[in-house]
Amino acid sequence: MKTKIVLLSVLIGLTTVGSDCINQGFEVAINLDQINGTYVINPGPNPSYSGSVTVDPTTLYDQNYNLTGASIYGIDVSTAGANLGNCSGTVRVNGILLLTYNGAWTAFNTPQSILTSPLITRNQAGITELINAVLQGRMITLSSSGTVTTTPVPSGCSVTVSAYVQAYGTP
Amino acid sequence: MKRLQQIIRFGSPMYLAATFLLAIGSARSQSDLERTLMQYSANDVKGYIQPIADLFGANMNAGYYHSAAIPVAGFHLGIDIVGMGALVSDDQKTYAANAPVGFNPATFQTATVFGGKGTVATDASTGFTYRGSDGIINASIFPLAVPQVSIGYFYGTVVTARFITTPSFSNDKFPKTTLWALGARHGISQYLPGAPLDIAAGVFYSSFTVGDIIDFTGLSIGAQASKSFAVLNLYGGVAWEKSTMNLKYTPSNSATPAVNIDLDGDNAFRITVGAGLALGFFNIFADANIGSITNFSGGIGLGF
Repeated sequence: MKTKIVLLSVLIGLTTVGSDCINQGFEVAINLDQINGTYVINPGPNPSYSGSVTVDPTTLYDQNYNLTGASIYGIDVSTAGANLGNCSGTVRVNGILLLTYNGAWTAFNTPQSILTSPLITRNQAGITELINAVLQGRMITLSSSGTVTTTPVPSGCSVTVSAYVQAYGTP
Repeated sequence: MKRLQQIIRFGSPMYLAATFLLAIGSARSQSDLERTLMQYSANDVKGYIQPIADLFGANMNAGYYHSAAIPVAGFHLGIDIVGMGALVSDDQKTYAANAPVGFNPATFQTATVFGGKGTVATDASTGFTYRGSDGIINASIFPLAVPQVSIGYFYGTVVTARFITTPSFSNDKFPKTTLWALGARHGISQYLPGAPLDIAAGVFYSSFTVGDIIDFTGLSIGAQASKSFAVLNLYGGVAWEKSTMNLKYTPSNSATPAVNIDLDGDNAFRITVGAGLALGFFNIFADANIGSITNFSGGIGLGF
């Protein structure tokens, strides 16, 4: 019996050490799957293009988390296909201007980052809308329209916009 | 309270230690820890989780002995509950995390798994922000407790084993954990007649698996010495050791490559100094372990 009392005392002591060991309400930084929109430029004489992609943000992260915040940490614009001269266009999120881009097609063959590229101009209202849509679980429609300067457009040309969003949440 | 009542009712060292592990080691934190880790890429997870590799590795290799007296022959059975605690230092609570490519600054200081709130990096040119996860574990000592059985003596050798497994439950919210260790020590004193101290040497291997993504392994090779004064036993030793934490998982972000990395524990060498009291079949012991990681171990046991 005495042994059991000693064992129990040690156990209680050890358990006390651990009882406060979890930070209650800790938040985890969640890197969502990137939100991609690829806009194909139709082959032919038309230099204009447009399109939209709709994404459910709740499919981009582990639903075991309750989101408490979100931020955007990058947006890239890139081109693929033959050189089409210059390209310029706009990107909207749920109809709100997110950014504009303008530059040599070949420059965009290497993805241009909103963080560092002078070829992209961001619009804060669109940034805010994208964050709010993720936080509120609203559908995100990413649309783009623009023009190129070289025609006819061969097949296989496209513009891709990729948005990188981080959320924070409690498990 | 219900768990405590069960502990009282069962009262066995195995059950006590298993419950202890379950209560503080895995019940809530591991499931959350696993999910948190899965937000990280291989490069980014290292700084966040490295302190666990260091501290748990040091704990795994502690508490294997509390005497170097190993007779050449005779029957010995010892059952111990060994508790270990590694000190969490301030520099293990933050690390330099990578900010996203293109951010200025490129790195920022934020919480490890033992830290507080994650901090926010703000890009100088755009004002975009990126933050680190909060720490999960708030403790100045990182503990572990295990049951340990020693059986001897075979030609001056004693074999020591540890084993605990806890099943998954609550629809796998709490993952299965398995810890085992096996080692042997050989008495050197038998070859040194008249030696003023009991001397032994030993080797131990250990493994701890948490759910599907975390595996620890540990190896310790060392020499021990002890001297008894009536019921008091003073002991100590030196050991070379190695511990490795393997992380293997598929990150939640589908664009991030699968992670399969080994993180080595910081401790490679330790000096142990300890004392014990032998009261008939009952004994109690405690020691300090000095190395890159400072940790303490102690426990109670029954042996004859």
